Amino acid sequence: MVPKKRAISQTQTILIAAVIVIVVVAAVYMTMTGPTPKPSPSPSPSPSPSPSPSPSPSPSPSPSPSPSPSPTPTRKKIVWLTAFGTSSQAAEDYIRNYVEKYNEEHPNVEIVYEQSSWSKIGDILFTRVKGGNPPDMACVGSADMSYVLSGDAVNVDEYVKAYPRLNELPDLVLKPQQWKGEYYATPTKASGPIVAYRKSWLVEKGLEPPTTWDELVTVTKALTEGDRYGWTVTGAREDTGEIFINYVLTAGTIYWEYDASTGKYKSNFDSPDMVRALQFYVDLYRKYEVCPPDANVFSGEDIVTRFAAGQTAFAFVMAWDVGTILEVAPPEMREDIGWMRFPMNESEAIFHYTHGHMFFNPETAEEAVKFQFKFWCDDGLEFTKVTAGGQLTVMPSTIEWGRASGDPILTIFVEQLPRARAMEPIPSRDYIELDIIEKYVMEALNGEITPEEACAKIHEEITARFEELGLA
Amino acid sequence: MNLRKNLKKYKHIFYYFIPTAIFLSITTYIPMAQSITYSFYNLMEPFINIKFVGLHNYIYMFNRHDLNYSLYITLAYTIISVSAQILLGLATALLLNSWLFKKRAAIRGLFLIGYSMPSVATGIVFRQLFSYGPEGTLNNLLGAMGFGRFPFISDKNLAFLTITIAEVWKWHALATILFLAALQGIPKVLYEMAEVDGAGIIKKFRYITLPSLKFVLALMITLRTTFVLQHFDQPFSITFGGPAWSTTLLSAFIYRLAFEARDYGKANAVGVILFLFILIGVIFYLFVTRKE
Amino acid sequence: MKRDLSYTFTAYLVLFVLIVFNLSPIIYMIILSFKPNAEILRGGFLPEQPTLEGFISVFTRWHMAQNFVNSLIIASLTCIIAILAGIFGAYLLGRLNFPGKFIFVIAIIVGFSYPSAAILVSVYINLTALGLYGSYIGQVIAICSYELPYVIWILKDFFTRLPKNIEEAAMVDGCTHLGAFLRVVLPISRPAIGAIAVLSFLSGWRNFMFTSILSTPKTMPVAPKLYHMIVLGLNDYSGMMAATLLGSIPTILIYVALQKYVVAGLRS
Repeated sequence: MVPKKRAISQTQTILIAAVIVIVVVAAVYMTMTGPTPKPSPSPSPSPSPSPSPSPSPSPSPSPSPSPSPSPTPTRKKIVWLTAFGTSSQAAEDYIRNYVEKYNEEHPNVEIVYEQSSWSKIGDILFTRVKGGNPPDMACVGSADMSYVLSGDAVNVDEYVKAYPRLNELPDLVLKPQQWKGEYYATPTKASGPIVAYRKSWLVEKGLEPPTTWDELVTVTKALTEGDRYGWTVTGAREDTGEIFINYVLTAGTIYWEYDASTGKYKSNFDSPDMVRALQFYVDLYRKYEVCPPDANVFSGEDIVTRFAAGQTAFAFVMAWDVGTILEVAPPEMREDIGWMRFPMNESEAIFHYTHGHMFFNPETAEEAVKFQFKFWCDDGLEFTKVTAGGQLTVMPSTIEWGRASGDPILTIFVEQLPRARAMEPIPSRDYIELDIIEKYVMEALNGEITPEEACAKIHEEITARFEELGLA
Repeated sequence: MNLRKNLKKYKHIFYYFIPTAIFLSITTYIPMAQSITYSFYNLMEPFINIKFVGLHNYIYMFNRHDLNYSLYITLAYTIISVSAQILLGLATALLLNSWLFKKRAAIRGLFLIGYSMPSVATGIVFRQLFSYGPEGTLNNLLGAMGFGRFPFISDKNLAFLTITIAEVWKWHALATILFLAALQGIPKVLYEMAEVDGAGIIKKFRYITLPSLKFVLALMITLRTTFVLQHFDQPFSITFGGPAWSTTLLSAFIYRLAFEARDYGKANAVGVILFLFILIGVIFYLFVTRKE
Repeated sequence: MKRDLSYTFTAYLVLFVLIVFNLSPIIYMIILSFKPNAEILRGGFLPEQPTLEGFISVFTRWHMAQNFVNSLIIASLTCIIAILAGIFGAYLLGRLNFPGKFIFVIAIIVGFSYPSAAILVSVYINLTALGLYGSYIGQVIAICSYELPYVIWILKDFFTRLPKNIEEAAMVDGCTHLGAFLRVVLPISRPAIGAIAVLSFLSGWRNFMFTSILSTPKTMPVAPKLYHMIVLGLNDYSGMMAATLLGSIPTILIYVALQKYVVAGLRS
């Protein structure tokens, strides 16, 4: 009995040890090659945290063979990954026809339009870039500077500056595409916020649309009775950051300061204006109580649906929700919808969301940049006409057209443009906006901390993150 | 030499072992080992300068009050809903087991409907039913009856109550089935003998029913705890993490860290912490079943 | 006599309450899918004008036909892989005795107790590195990360209960051990394997966490699509309820019809 037991334990040990060793070795091997896959092992472990923008990213993505030209060297295949075209069939048809025509007129390139959805495009782009098969050009929700830092994005400064009509574009759309003064993305359009309201409700009470924060409080208070509410705020993830920033800008400040020459950031959450903005935002929900009781979990969609269901008097939305409001509101309500600017105080700045297209393949970058400028700037007016609501591609011709149209929505956007500010690019944007700013704003909204505490905490954590990235 | 002898004796085992090992390694064990490894690195956006940081992720996570709150919520959720599931399941099984109901299978089938639906689907239904807005069914009903509307999903505490009720609703059928099966295995003779001895309902329950159920009870408690600790689909579909992340269970917290904040190192650190909790349940189960 | 009556009455009452509690969300879901959106907002119980507009919008507005196909593919692949890996693993653990077996039992238990959310992260990174993001096989591999250990765990008890000397009997007739397994043990185990097939198919159909992260809009199955519908819902409540109903029907039917096997499978 005894010798047999010893034999078993010896075999047992060896077998188990072998299995564990195999699994651990495989795991460690895959770990090393996992997150930093074949083409770009160099940028990740070696360089210092300070970003090195220009030529070094270029050599590494090029070994990946997939996006480079199809068999014939004369025709370059350019993959365009975007979510434009998902909002309506008209938009999608426009893009497909445009791409077809462009390919006919330019026999040396072949643009391939790959449509994604807005919710997935960030992920899809990320996985393709890190997986070694990036698209040649992709629409980034807001210029994602993480790709610049990691070396995956191509520096397109010289191609952008080669565009002859660059100086006609406002700084609003150009600044967010730069990093330390050099272009990494091309501009698309500017989408600002707008407020929809129920005209009859205001007329009933003899009220005028508010133009300052004080007026906003008075008007919404008067309109809140029964199951009707005046205003609404958002408390859900992802949308809160975009809506709240308008309050911040109107209070005279912005999330962070960015020095383009040094590439350094500084958080503004220690300014009293920031606390004032958050206080007002929270007061609308907690103190003045002009919002529906469950507004603390509203997303951007909820603002639209509750307005369309007749629960709120005002709907403060971004430009891309205008079409949705018109579509979702019952037919009898449509004539009753009026449009106005967000009530602005002294500084009169308003947030505009600007997309950009980034480029990941140095061999096709020049042609790709040309295409993007042609689509959005030279021919931008045509696409503007196809998309509903007030999203303007911002060449002067488009702005003139918007002004001349007399459309109430477009008029508001055109008037807002000179006062618009866009967010400048920042790496780790999701983490900062979602995990830090939104989190504490939501907590303040729910009354768990005061606005002062929230701003102090945000300031502390954002500064720590900047320091971690070497950007402070 | 002993090794060689054993290898020869058991060599047929390898036919079964190798495919299993390959499959399981690829799908389960390698990702598991990777996950533990990643928790010691600062793998976060923008993925530059990745290096070994030891326990930095863990220390950071313990200092965050929202992780602590999430942990507390998850434990509370697990304890409350597992107890409620088991109690409700046991009560239902006892009820169904009585001589009154012949068509047990049909009734059991009815109870299974909620259990069989995908968790997202039941989450959506609950979200629709408990919503505050004009489309919320329960609130419309309560309003019509004069009770006023309740913010079931947007109030911190009510939201927790909602997801707990939803959890019990969905999963108690499992407990019912298992207890019913176990109850039907108890020979009727025992009850008859007890009645002859003059035992009332309570005594019968205590001395006959309960001991026979002990094993199933232990199994249910540990298995349910293991799985409920990992639950993500249904609570997330109902509250999306709740007002200001107050109903974010640990799995949802990991999901958020990994795919919204893009911080894979910390997400895996939380995962390892959750795993340690689950291990406690597993060890308890092994201890209980070892006696069998 | 009186005592019996009141006892019976109470029992039936309690049962009725339980059934109402259990079924009312489902009944309401069915009712809501036949109500037009305008009526849903107004409240009320039964639809005054029952319509199929919800169901139509599922296919025209939400384009869910592709999602159903995706679900079918993923669930079937999960089923196949689960069976393939499951029979070997369960046989190994259930029947064969060898030194060090206990370690593997522990390993299997650990396999399905490691939090899926954390495995999701690793799988996501691996699939990204391999370029399999968004593929069907990628999602199936992810689902199998917890499904395989679970399947092995359930199936092993069945193999334990088979008659003792089947393999030896077959080997006497001249098979190898593997041959005995394939030709004798497996055919006998068909009911259990059937139960596993059903369970893993349903598990693949219902999975949300892995598939929502690892799929692209083209390869997205029904469950994450339902979630996206809530996020983008936009007042189409009847469409959402109709989609939920359609997405749940396969699981409900299979579960309710095959209760016996499910119970037997769970009884380990």
